[in-house]
Amino acid sequence: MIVEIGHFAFILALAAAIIQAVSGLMPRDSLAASAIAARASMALLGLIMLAFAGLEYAYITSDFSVLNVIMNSHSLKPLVYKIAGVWGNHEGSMLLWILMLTVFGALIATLPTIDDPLLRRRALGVQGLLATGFIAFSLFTSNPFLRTDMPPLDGNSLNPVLQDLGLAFHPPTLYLGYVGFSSVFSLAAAALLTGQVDNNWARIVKPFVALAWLSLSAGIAMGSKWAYYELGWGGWWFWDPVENASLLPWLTGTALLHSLLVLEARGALKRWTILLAVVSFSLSLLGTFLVRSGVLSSVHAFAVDPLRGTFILMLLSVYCGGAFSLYALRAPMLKTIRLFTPVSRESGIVVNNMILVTMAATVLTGTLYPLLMDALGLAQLSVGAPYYNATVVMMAIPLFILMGAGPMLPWKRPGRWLFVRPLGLCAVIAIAATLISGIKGALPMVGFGTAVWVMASSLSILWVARKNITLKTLAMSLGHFGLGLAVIGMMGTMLWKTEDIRVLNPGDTYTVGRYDLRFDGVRDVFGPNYGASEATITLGAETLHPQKRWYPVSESETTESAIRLTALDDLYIVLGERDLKFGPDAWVIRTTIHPFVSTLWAGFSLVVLSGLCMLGYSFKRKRAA
Amino acid sequence: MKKSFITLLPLLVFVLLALLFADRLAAPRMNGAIDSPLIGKPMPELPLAGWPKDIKPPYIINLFASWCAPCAIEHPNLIAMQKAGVTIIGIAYKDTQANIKKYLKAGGNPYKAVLYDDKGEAAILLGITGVPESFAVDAQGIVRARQQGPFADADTINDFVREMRK
Repeated sequence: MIVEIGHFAFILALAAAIIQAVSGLMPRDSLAASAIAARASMALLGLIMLAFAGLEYAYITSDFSVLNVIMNSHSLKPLVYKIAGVWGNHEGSMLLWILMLTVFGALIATLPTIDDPLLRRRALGVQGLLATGFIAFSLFTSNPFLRTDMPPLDGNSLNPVLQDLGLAFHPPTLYLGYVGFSSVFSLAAAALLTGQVDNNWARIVKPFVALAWLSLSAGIAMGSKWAYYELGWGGWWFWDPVENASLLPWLTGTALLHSLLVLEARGALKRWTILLAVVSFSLSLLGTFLVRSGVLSSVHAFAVDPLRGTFILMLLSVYCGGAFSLYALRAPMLKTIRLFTPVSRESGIVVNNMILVTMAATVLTGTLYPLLMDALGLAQLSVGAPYYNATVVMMAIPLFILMGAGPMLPWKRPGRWLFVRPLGLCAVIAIAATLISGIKGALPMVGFGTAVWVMASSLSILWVARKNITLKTLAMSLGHFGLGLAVIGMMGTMLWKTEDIRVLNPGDTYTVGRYDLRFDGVRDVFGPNYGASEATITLGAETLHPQKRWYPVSESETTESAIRLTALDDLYIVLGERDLKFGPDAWVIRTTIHPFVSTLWAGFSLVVLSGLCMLGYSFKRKRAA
Repeated sequence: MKKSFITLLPLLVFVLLALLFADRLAAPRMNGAIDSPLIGKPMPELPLAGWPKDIKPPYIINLFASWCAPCAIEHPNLIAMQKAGVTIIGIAYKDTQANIKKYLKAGGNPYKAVLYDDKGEAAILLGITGVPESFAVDAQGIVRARQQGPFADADTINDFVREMRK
């Protein structure tokens, strides 16, 4: 019954979305249309929440008459994974996606900071169009509420890799980011329709960009952490197509954050900013298409269904094709021809934007290159880390140099060259730190040096502003400092990683780096829905327990690495295969020491924190206005 | 004219991308997984001692081990296949003769012959990702299908045996 209410609410939501789209895009301006569009968006949010609650109910009570629950749940699964299981599959995650979309619709309808009623109505209309398409997609090709007339006794369970706390948070955060850009997209399309792109528009859009960007940053960082700690992949970034798909809107979104500053301060870069706003969400949609259509093979791919792929491609064509057509028609009317002086904040941001967008284009090319080659019948290949390391990493160096210098430059033109001395000091600190650190090799030295340079510059800006630190300054300094810190973490893990693979008999002792370890054998243990081989490895008074788990219901195996964290380094132990050549109880054990990983996570956390500061600051400004 | 071309550029790029995606969607797909390159080719000669020259194809080659839990799960199905007249050659992957003898004594022996791949050389040649893994070899000695993981249900087994008898 409750599931039916959810299903019914979902169908009604399609009607509400259509009403929102029509009333929002109606050409004639009227107060009634504005009121209807705003109320429809609230009704839409309520209905989708009801639908989501209905599906959650089916999962929590293990209702195996619902197909989606059969396919993805099991009565023995712990409660938290039943709840999170809703978005561990294509249909359920689509519903979560739509839920986020309607949350942002309701935000556009209610935020008092949007002081242009026509802009609000148009944006609601575009947001309504997005909701209509995706609800229709979900209802017609991937309805999570479908029943079966022969309910089985138990379900097929969730992919064991996904039975982890990381799953509970990683996708929703990432979606909040992806879908957050929908509001930016809607506001950009609305601005193209109204023809008003100015510093007021920049001010209105900013909190949406900040929220989307910060969620995307947090989502990417969480995914990376999840891969590192729980999946036993032993790394934090793999240039997997779907990882790239999340990086693309992050890169253009970062460019957008900066170009908005120029638009707000100087009323310049109008067309470019609008284009970035449209492109960021288009890349989010592209990511959705790549993950769910199965055109690329990836660790993240959902079950493949060509019909779904066709439907999403249709939506993609309507939304992106429509927005880019609107851009081609309307953008020429936005006039902002202004020359910037070469040494100024705005010039710095223009170069920053060019580098970020080139990076995004490079990652996009690498991601789609195998598709293109296959389409032309030339080759079947995959593009791996070497391509990205050779291109993106090289572009990151000038970006980091700019990141240190840019914030010190004044707007418009430098009256007095006051910034030269502090910048020189930062450069001296960076060079000295690099020489003291004893790093060898040109690229590592440059990488480390630029990271220190960025951190020194951010700290010096905070020092200069110490008596009156605004959230704006804090956002910028924390973000830049965090990225510098993250780069140092990345360098550390790459340069000083120690790896050791050996076959051990129970009682054997061995040493890796600063750790003296003893292998005490492997025993069988049983969890609620799996069996496992568990090793015991002793380190002083502590014991570590890497596992190999076997999930009989879904017939799959997972590796649970044992990890011991310290501020200095992570000790990472993975249990391999049994090796009978060396004894009846001999096992292969892989031990890795990853230094500086905590630095990497700390850097990412600061970046997310800077997003929060930005969000707070973009609201604060508006209250004053 | 020149100005409007620049604003038209994003649309053009997008249209090209959309065409590429449409083309890829229409292309036949292998469900994201690439099947074994051995399929459609003759079964390679395996570097194992005691290859039974007298057993003629069609047969199934099954890689297994006594330490492997999924192998024990599929074992009754292998016995059923053997009873239905399917020839199965077992390759014990990284295991000892003593352990295998014990294992086959306890669970029954579905294999016409058991070979020992203690160094994993045959496994590398066959490109397996783990045990159990099986290959269907038809009457001409051509590899027809590969099964990764255990034979868990009747459909999988029937499809596999049908490929072998083609």
